[in-house]
Amino acid sequence: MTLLAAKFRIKHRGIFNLKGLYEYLHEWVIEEGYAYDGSDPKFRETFHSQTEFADGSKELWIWWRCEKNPAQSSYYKYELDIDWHAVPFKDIEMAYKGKKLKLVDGELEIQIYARVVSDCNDTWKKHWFLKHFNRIYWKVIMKSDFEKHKIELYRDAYRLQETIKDYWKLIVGAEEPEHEGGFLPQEGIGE
Amino acid sequence: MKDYNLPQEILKFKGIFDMDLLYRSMRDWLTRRGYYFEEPVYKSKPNPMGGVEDEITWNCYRKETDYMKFWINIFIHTWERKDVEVIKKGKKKKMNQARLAIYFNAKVETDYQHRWDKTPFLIWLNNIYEKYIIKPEMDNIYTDKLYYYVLKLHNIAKECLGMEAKGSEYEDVW
Repeated sequence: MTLLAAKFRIKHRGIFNLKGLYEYLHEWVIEEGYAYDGSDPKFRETFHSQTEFADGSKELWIWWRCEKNPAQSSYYKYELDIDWHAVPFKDIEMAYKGKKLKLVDGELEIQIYARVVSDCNDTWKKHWFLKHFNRIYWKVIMKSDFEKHKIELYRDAYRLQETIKDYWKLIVGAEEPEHEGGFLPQEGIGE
Repeated sequence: MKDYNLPQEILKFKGIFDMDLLYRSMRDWLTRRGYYFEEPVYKSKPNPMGGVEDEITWNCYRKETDYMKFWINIFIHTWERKDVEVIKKGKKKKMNQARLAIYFNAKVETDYQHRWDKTPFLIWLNNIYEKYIIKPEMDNIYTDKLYYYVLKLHNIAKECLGMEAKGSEYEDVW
């Protein structure tokens, strides 16, 4: 059974470093444990598409399907789906403090879906005896535990949202900022 | 399952204000009162007239009882938002200049656990329950309570914006 913990999208149009944001979120996913071991072949980027139009603009689609077993649990699994869609965007070069920066000028929308999955390995579902008690187990007996996992995943998802909003200099609402002072320069441009 | 919608409240403002303070104050007010906070949409784009246009949607709910849920849905729309520096009490402060509209929508959702919509008999029973048994409670307690909560949040926004009409004579209600 699956429970939706958070679902939101952030859309921003402007000039920013798309490659920087991609790398930043890639590192975030690995550091938070949503990519198994961080190696590129195992990173769950299930779809990547880039289309170039005649006028030089591009369209980008990226799907990340990240998963995490909280505390090595064999019953619960966190799923974090991150969908990127940029259309249209153009590569531009901008001079900043005497240096040329390769940026993009366009619109990017990032959609995030966070779900808690119970009985992730279908152990209970396939067992001849346990399958009759699976529903009661997660709906009644472990309900409070399930809610705790939902809140934990909700917090992770909104921390990711805060990271993205901070990168784009959007309004961040959390009481304690995720990164004091910004580990990565905002918009990939710098101070 | 039925939704009891409350009248929409709109707040419009044009001038200089602290957008960060407004955002954090409203969000803190909701989270400290036990509302589950969700921000499903955040859009930001440059405005052709200058500045930035933001569209922010908040959907917040609180399980008031095991039968009723309070929803507060807020839509914030800003136009031509620019950063400005203002001297306040002898100190420089970063604020924002923009046109702003905030839409407050609230509703009471009943039977959110869908226990009473499984069979036609239960649906019929639920209708009788809501129309005749708990109707006075719905009108006088729950919708009334939510209405004044939203009014308090409305007042928080007015205080952050420094509006002349801030303050409410219903501050001590609920």
